[in-house]
Amino acid sequence: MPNPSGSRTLALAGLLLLVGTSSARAGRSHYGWLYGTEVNPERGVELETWILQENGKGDDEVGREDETLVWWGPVFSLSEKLELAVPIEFAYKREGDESGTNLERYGGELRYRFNSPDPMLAGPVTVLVRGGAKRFAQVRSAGRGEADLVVAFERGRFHAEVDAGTVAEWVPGEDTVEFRPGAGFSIETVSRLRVGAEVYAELGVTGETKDWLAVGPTVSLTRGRYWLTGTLPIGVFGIDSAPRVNFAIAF
Amino acid sequence: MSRSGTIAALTAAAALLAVCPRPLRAEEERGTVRGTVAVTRPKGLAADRVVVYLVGFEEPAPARTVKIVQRGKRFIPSVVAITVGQAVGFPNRDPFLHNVFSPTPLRPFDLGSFPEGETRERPFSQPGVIDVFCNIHPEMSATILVLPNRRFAVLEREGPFEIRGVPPGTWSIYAYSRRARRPAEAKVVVTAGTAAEVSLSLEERAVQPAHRNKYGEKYREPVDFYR
Repeated sequence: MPNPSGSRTLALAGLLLLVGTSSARAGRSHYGWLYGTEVNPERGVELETWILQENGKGDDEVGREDETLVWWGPVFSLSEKLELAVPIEFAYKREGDESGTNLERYGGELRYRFNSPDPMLAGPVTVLVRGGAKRFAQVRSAGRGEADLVVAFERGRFHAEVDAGTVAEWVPGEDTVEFRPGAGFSIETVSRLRVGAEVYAELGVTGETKDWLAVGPTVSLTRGRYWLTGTLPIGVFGIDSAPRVNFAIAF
Repeated sequence: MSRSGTIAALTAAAALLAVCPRPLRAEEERGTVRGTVAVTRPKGLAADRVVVYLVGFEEPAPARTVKIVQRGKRFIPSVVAITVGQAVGFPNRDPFLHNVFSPTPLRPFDLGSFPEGETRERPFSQPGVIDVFCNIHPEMSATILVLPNRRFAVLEREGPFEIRGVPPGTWSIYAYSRRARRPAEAKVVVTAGTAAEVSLSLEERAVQPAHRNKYGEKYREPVDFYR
């Protein structure tokens, strides 16, 4: 038989859980450069924005460049596991004495989560695949394909993830293929504020590319229909730094 | 959820979680628990469902999925009792979208928005009290009691009840109402082949005030364009 004091203790603990719990998680990622494995509920819409910088990419021999890219687009939940993103990308680039801001690319991305989105049914390991097809705005005959395999592990407040990405660009005379691996971990502290770290790299497979790798801390926050992630990786090689902020609002 | 409703829900959940159930022996004969639930409520408040349940032993869940239908911007029925391991389905019988969700820490879920004719289901694997709402229509609310066994009675209002097939033993019996500050509790001794009598009293305080949507925000003014 539950004793009154034990019931009150459990009731108080349960009340604290209710007070401290935030609400819906939207389709967030805990990381800056790594894709997340969460998707929005069916028929949900999320407006995502990424702002990323690649500072001092390259070396003195190849030439160093700075780039700021803004990715913006709605993300539509087609089912409880499948999302469609329709982004446009703007970029500022500076290499040597040349610089400019342009509409870079536009296209579509599909993200499919294999596990149930229900947190009670999903299990500790979640897998998501992502594929994107984009056109370059400046070069009509150029295109880009993107693919990612993301595997996440979550237990209690701890979250870890590995992201294996590939980007292939078909630009006349400048075809390239890059492997883009990343890994990170994140720990929930208070009120849906998470801290962690991530490592990310862009490594050329074919064509002329500027390889780089960076590692740094990551912070993410969820509040109701909003989520925000920021990271400041410092270059290990090939780049000075690669700060990035992602944020979104869900409807 | 109102403070009184929260306390009632948590007390019911604590009662379900704090007891160490014992496994049943298949050859045991069973008994019956009969009784009456009396409810006092403020004048003018309509009657609501009452669930009477026993705690202290476990039984496997039936395979049947319980349905909570969405019709006329209401969950029908608004209070259901199921056994741990059972699933609840939410068919939409309205000519517009509904978005069923639960903010309950024990079993949070968000079924997304789905149209008329479609159903979404979720299993419930832990005992407790689960509040369910619609993210589009604030007037919709339901409560699911997830119980450790199949020995419960759901009453449309206060009155007599009978629970058959109860294993012999001394068990805690509760009467739950969404509007009561806490469930009514009693002890009942069941012997094989006999009927134990028990009376329970509930005091309903108030109708629950408006809850928040799945983002923790107040609902916007009602609109009719979710079709």
